[in-house]
Amino acid sequence: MRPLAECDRVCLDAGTTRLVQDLRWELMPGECWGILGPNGSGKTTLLHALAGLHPVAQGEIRLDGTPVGKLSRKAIARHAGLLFQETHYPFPMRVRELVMAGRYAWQSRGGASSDHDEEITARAIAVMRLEKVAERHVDTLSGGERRRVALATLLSQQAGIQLLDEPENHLDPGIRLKLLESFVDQLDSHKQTTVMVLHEPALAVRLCSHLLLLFEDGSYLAGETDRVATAENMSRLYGTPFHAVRSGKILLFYPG
Amino acid sequence: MQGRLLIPLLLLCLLLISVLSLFLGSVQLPPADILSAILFREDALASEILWDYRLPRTLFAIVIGAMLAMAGAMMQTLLRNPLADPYILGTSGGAAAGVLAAFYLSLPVWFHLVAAVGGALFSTILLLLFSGFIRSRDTNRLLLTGIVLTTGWGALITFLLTLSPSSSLPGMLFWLVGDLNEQASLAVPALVLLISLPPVLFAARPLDMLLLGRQQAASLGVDVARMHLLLLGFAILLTATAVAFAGPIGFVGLVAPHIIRLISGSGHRLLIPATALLGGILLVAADLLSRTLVAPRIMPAGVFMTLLGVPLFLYLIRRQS
Repeated sequence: MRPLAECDRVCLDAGTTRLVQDLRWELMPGECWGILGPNGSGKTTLLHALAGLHPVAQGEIRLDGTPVGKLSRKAIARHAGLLFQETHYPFPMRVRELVMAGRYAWQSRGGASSDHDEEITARAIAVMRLEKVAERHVDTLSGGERRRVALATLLSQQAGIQLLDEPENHLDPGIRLKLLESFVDQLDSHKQTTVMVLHEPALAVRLCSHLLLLFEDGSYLAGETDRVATAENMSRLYGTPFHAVRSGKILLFYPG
Repeated sequence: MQGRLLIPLLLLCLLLISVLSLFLGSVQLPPADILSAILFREDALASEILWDYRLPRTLFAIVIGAMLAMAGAMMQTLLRNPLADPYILGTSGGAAAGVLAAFYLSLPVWFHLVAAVGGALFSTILLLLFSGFIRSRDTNRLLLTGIVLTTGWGALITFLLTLSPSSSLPGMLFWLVGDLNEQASLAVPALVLLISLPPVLFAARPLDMLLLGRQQAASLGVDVARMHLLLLGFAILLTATAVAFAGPIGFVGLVAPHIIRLISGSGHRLLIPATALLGGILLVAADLLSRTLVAPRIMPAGVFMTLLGVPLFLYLIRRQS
């Protein structure tokens, strides 16, 4: 099986600061990756680089075998979709229109939306439980509802790689896990994969099959969650001692 | 409101206001004379006023209004800000300064358009550079930059006017406040309007997505740089042409898109043609007022547009903050 994305000795800079050094990383279909790291360690920058929105300083990122720089914007959008940390809507737009925007990458130039597009849009709206607000303007919605609209747009985009930047933002603690789980459940494990930047190690352990830890000095550690999620690694990652407690299937980390 | 209804409704309004504009004016003619002029071209005076004066003037107002309104809508999408308008952001000012410089240097008339495009382009580049439009979404900075540019162009215009021979001053001044008297040529503005519509309409879908922000649109597959170039190019061309032929008329580009968005949302497939129609309606109405309110004297149409636009602009600022 070919990886959906490969980072080949990738270095990433923000301004003059080196964030990520010599990253070698492969994303296979069906995997679910969590990226953890302290503030400013390059988590968001890495997601943006995978979506072709941030240039690599060195090395190469390949999507399904092709270097990102050689792909058109539409082709990149079919390979990788991105949920941004924050979204702003200064103009009135309807929820359904916004979710339909996810289909753009699959339509011909100036193309109208087909029944197939409508169907996918409707399903994305249902998965994110937005039926009741589907005809409303997005600027009238609450923060959490807007977050779900953005997730629904990403679902309808049907990209190979789902890049989620702090997906739990604005989501109520009560539905956070369920919503993210139903998001991941919608994906085709033969063709799709998810990468999410998270702040909460426990959420990452719960949702992700693999973890990528980005350390402050630009080094990294990647591997299966069971192997990577240790108190020792978390302590090194966040620069403060962490302890782990296990309760059944749930693994929690707490500092101190 | 459904798009199917909006466009026919606007067309109807445009037709009504245009007919009104043919029947009313600074010279009062009995409706019967006008009707006979339309049908039989009998009455020499009425015929002349109607065919040589009111009809071309009305068509001219429609075309110029449509251009300015479209340019406004496009600037708003480009800058993701409903307060953007070529007049407020200095694009019109740059074009006007260019035209006046061409006046002053006694360059041929066709060069006015070139000078207007040059001035508008230069001013817009300054605006984008100094407002940091790509990285920041700071409305205050954008508007401040625009206002400073407008002020600068204003000073340059005053400078050029001071140097100009007094015989040409009244014409220049009237042109400056938006005058529809000198409809030198309807063909060029109409042509520019017609070539601008198809590419913008064809790009309606990606333009909609641009409203989500540069990065979000790019992540959904939109070629953002190309869309920005398209918007910028046509907004400048439309503004410069309108200014070169009718003077800097403000606020059409602010008022028309705002009203259409309130009615039918931000989708460009409907927004662009509906805004163009409403721009035409507004400018014909403003021109009608300018010809009848203080008849037999004629006021520049730009004065009424500004009187309508300023309160709306103040309201929008209040709502944004």
